[in-house]
Amino acid sequence: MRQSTEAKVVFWGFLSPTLFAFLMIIVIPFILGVYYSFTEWTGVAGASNAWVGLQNYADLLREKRFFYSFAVTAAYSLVSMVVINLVAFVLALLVTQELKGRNIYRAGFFLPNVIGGLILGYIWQFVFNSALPRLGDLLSIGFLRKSMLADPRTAFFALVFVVSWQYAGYIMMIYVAALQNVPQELLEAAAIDGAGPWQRLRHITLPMIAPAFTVNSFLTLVNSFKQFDVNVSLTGGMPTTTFAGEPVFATELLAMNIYNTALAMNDYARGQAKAVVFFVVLAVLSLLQVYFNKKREVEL
Amino acid sequence: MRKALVSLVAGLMALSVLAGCGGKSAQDGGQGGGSARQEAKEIVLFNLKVEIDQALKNLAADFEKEKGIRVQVKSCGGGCDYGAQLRAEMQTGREPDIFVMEGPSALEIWGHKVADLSNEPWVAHVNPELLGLKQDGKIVGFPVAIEGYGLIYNKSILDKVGVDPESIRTYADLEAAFKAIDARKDELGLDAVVSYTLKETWVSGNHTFNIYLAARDNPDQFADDFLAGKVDVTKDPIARDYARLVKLLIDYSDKDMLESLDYNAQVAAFGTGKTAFLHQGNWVYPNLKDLNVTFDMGIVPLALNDSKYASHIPVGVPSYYVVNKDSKYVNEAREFVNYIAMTERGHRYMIEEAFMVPAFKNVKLEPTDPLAKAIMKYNAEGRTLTWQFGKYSADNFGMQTIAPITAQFAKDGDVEKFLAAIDRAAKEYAASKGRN
Repeated sequence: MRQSTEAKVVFWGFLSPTLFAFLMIIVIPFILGVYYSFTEWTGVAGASNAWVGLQNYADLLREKRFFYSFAVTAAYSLVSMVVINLVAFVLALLVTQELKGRNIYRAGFFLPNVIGGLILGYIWQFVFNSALPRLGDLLSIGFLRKSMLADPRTAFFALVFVVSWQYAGYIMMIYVAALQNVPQELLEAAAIDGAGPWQRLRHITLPMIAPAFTVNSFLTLVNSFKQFDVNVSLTGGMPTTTFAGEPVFATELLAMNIYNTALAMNDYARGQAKAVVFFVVLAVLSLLQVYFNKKREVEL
Repeated sequence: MRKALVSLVAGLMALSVLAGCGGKSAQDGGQGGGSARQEAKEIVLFNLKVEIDQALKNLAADFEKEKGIRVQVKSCGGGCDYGAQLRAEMQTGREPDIFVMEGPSALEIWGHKVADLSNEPWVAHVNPELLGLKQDGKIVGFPVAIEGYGLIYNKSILDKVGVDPESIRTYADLEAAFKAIDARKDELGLDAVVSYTLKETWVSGNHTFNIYLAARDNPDQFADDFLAGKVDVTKDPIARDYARLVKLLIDYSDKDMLESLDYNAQVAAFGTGKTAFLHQGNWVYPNLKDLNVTFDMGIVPLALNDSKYASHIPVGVPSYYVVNKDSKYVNEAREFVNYIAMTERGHRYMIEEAFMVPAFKNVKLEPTDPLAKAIMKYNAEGRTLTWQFGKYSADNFGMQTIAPITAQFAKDGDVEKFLAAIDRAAKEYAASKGRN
């Protein structure tokens, strides 16, 4: 009996610091956030936080800039999910071959992930705004002269490119781990039976690493949806474009839109309403995606 | 174990109390010594800019020699949150006698602390629009420095083309100058006539847009009405003039770069002689100095029509000193503030030691920085416009709403749509403020 009390004390003793942190920085702010989305609070201490019901949510339906951000974030997430996974998988295949110095390649591809997103965004902003146009001038290549960040469409792909460059190395490592776990005897047996490299990849390797696909597509989807730091530093939402007759920031993804609403425009409650919508959509999407990907996995 | 801990804590507390007393008595002793000669007084100034800390301390030392009043300068270090730190200072039991306010919104918090400075001698030497920190019609803020902006020009390029910057006073003058320079762009090695940017949304949304609000009679009232949604922008002739000015800036800048040019690149384009004008203010001078700029420069107004206001430039006050009216030494604090504005030593401090542009017209010293010189000249001539964008900058209305509308106008050039969009934006802003 005494033993079990002690076990309980130890259990709660070790759990409580983490539990405390989790409650204080996740659970309570989350509940507060949902509450504020039903008020008119501006985010200033002492300002009125009167209950306004669903007013903030109704306002969202009329806000074209929010719809645009939603659409562009969805497009961005889809494109970057595909690009990052494709690049990462190809890189993973490369660095699991019998290459000289493959560990250096692995480290090299992983390295951009170590740099903070903000710094990385500013570095690439310099590349797009100054380095490439200068190169275009020197080599007389017309299309390079205009900064990619100055046009809504190219700025979108610049963002995808930079994030892929940053994130593909990380995703690659997960694929590498998965590829190394594919049993060699299966591949050898298939080779003896006359399967070519493509067939081995298609019919053995891919099904065997399906769990990695599930994890990676979940990670990239969620991270792309939540993209903020590179977005802020690389484009800052710029340039502008016209959506349904209204000027909007062409590369303002959802997280940045929420940040701008809540903190730049001092409309904290409306920003919170957006965040709640954002949370629900993201939760549904990622659960659906995990559900469908899980079905494809094979168990040994 | 526990006993030892308790006694340790108790001991520490006792020590700290003793130390506090000790410090105080030592200080009292020092002051007592001073009072043998004359009564020792000490005022505390809580300074916002750590860059001028040493200059301010030197000034305080000279002030003490002359008047026998000690001034203790406390500075809010780099990255310090002045508003939060001020709250703490107010709680210490020794409230600062002089502290800084960055604008009228600070009065909502500290309005009950400020002394009336309306009858101070320096007031007569300041243009009335720079005395913006008022409470119940009384002047409560001493302008620490001023800043101004417009189109900074490269004198050597203007000379080559034969444009006299002094003569640019109306929209027609400005357009003619732009055209003359544009015609010889290749020969002069210019990328564009003017270095303007829509990427830095504060430039288009706050600074450029301020011209529309301020270049008219009674700008304060107009800006208030505009932000309250009571102005029909589409029927305002000055709005059309403003659209014309924006179009001029856009047409004569590097169009491919408008939405990707950041502040540094914008200043660098001008500093390296790739453009003749730069839409910025006197704060760019340190950046230009870093670029080893050799040409002479000055500022011409963002002239939007041919009214007298077209020849004025927006000049504003980024921060004010206020005097704590509950202070024991409120008169001594006033005296120190006077000392800055009214004595030669104070003028030397502002211009040569703190490198600020003084708001006072009685300052005869000339700064070496040509842009500061230009601002002082406009100020002395009374050719200034007010900064109205402070009224909406806290909500970022200019950066979040006006800037993208301006960028859209840069692309389609549709004046009617531009004005209608501004009109609608102001009304939506007023509605959202009303709701909150």
